[in-house]
Amino acid sequence: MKFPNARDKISLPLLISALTVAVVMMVGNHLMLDQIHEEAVRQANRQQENSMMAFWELMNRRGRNFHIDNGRMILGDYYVLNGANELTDKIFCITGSRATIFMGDTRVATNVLKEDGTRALGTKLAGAAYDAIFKEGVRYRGEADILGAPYFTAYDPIRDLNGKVVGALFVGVKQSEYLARYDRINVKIGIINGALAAVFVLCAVILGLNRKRAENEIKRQLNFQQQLMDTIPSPIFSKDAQGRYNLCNKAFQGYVGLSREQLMGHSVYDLWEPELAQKYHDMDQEIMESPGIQVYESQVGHADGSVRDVIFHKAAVRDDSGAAQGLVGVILDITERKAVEQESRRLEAQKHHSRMIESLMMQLNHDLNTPLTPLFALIPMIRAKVSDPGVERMLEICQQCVNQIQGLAGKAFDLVRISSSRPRLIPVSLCAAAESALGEISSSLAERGVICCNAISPDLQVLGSADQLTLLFKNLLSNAVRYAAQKGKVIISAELKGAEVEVSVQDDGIGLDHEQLTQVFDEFYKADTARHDLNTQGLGLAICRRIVANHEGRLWAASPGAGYGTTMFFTLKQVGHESPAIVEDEPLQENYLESYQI
Amino acid sequence: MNRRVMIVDDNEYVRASVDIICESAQLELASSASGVECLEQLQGGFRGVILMDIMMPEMDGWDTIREIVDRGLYPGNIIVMLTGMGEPDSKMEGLQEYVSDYMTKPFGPEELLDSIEYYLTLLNAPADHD
Repeated sequence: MKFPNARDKISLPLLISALTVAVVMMVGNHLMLDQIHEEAVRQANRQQENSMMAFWELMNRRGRNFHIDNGRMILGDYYVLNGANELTDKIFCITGSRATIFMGDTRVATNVLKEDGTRALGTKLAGAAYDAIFKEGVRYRGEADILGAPYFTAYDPIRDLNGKVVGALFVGVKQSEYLARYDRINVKIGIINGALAAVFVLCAVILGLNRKRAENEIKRQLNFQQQLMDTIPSPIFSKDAQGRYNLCNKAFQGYVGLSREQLMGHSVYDLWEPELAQKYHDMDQEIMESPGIQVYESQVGHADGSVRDVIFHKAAVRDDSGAAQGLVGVILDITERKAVEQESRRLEAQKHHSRMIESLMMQLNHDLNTPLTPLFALIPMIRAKVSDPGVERMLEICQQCVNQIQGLAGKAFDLVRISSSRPRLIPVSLCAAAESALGEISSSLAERGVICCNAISPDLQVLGSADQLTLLFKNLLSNAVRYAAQKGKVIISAELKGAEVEVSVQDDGIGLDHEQLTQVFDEFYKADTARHDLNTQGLGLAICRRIVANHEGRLWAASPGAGYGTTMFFTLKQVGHESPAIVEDEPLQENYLESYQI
Repeated sequence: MNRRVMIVDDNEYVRASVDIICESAQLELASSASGVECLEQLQGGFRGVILMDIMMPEMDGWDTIREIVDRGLYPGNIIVMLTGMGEPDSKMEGLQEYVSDYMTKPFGPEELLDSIEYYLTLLNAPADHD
């Protein structure tokens, strides 16, 4: 803090007060000094009276009568007063007053000195004293100028035996000499006064500075509080005892879409819808009347026009006697939290539903397989025992239908199983998965005389689930074998492409046209539009699509056209290129991979 | 020469089918509708190839195998599990070593007989007798 700067800001009233006190003190002192002065003058006059009495006493010892003889003033019979300076000097010794004997109006004996320091003998009396003595024949008391210097004086006329004024006696003190002591006191008091006034002003300045400092400190603290509140992202407010807003932070203004000016000094009824306002008011009243912090869920009209779900935290502000002076409140917006909770409940329900479907499918699968077992077991035995071609044909149809039911149950179960949860992806051998699938469909390969060539490097590892990859290959290979040319060829190969491995299963079969390419991945789609092929369920590629989605890859089909074979492609992640946080058993979202690339 | 086979399945038509197939191959079949009946037959001295269904009410295939092992009835038998696809296998922990093979339902007569004959051969082989 810089001093000159601060001095400008010192409170003016305080300075005026200090100056007033100083002036009052000075005036008081002045009046007191006046009294002292008056008393001093009175004392001086009294002293002259006494000195005059002493002077007469001194004269009377030498004689009673005065007369002038031959230009000399004689006291008694012979005492010549002209030049009788011993008398005046004695008076000075006794009383401290100067003294003069006038013959007529001329000083004939005196110790009043002239400017050059010699006795003022021969000089004349003049002024008011002269008029009183010689014109009116009365004594004179008071102040008078003697040879240019002011004196406290006393003049008495000297009369001869006939009562004629023949001269005068004078006693007096120079005012400057007599009042010297008073002047010294005056100066001292003046100094003390000045010092006290200076102290007052100094105190005022210091007090002013301190007050300014305190004000600055309070201002700084208020500023800090406001800054702190404005930094807090939750809306904060406070209200007075009458429920009027008297403080809020920026978050609050932004939340309700009103400026500080629009809010301050207004009640809930001025600002919100009557219904909401009444609710707020009731809750405010409740908190004013009860101790502690009130937490409750409510709604607030947001600046964007929406009504938000919030939690209010409120507490009453009380004075020393416990009376509520207002309240403070914080708003916690839980709209998103509620939405998340709702979404979470929805996902949980979906997960539960998936598990239920999976469980149901498993049960259905078992319950289908159980009655299929006797059919599967017995139909071949019956066929072995019949020789009628008609009956044999009927049994063959039955056998095919049973096969179809069994295939459908198995595939549907596969589809539910791989759709219900995402597998843990670990490094697995791609070649081994393909070999495993080839093993499972070896009979179909042999039946159609198709040669399958697995060109995948035995060292190649991908991130995946071995079971699902085997199932993926099995489905792709089953299709390839089914649609390959008689004694045709199927080639499995894999190629590294960046972080991915692109796998292809190529056949030399019937191929697909443009329309078919976009539909092959749909559930229950069959390339054979008449759906004559009773040995397929139309679920194979749908299963493949889900498996590839589970592996965060892409699946697509390519064909030069009908009759020129089909190549199925899919991508997998290479080991070392894991995507972060693959969660096991995470429910799958639809639209995970719906695009069919051609 | 041991030609004894036991089917443990709660579905009577499955049992009947297996019975017909076994009869055609001159196999001696014991039929059990539950794990309890299977244990009774074993207590009664049955030894041979056991075709065990997994999903059965009350006592399932795995529970039954646990009981067989616990009661010391396993030696002299070979167990083949009859499973549907995706049937629960969480209970198989520590019991796999007592299961020689899995046969997926539905199965044809040749597949079943091939399997039974194979395991009967193993049972009857001198090296496996002790």
